[in-house]
Amino acid sequence: MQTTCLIVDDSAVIRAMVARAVKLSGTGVSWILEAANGQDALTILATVKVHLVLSDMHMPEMGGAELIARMQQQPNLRQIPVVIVSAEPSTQRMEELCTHGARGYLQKPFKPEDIRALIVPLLEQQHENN
Amino acid sequence: MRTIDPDLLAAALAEALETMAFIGVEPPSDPPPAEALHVTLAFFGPISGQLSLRAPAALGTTIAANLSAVDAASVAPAQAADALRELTNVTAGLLLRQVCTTAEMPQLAIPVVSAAQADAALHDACSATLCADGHPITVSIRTHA
Repeated sequence: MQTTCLIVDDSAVIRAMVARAVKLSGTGVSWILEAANGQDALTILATVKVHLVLSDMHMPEMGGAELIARMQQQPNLRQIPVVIVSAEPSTQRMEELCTHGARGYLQKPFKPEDIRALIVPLLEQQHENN
Repeated sequence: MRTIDPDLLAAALAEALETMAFIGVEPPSDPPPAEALHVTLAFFGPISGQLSLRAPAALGTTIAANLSAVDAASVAPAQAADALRELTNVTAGLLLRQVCTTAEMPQLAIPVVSAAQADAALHDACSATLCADGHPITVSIRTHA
């Protein structure tokens, strides 16, 4: 089964870094897509089946919180796990996002193994559901 | 105005460089050159202010190359600036987690890059200068009441 991951961040350098961490994680992600903000992410999600979204929190046009809220409103997107990857200093705000639909968070800076620990159970669950 | 220990500022920058880009730091010999890039990031909330970073574009190139696992020669100037923006973002997050209580924790704006310019206000700010991969880098913070 092809596993697709969408990385959402306004920094192209960070998208490349996260993509590399996902590839090195050994989780079998076979296709990585990128979006520069939440709006671009929704455009991709409307046309491509995605199994996991890794999103920054603060981005121009549409941030991670609004992306999660929009995905929660759409039955076909609600089940896709979203992990917030952000330099946001407030753990409380990150945890609040988890009560609104995010399935986890990672504070920057992080190590590649941190990504692996977070996404392995989420992808396993997605595979079971499919 | 909150007084921030320059050692905490230096430690946040060093941690960001080491964890993000595998770049160790040393004490500086000179400040960043006049043509260095200048990144500012505003934060607002119970504590508000601005964190600024000045570093040569060449350091941004090295960081971008390390983050993306590509050769430095293939890094475009926009990617170098992008890397310094992200370094500012991560440094701010690390520092604010150290110096603010949960109730005080400010929100971060999106960092903005410009050509370096004399900023008189920065002379009053808490600042730290380090040497990263042979390049001087200065980080400063200014808080309002």
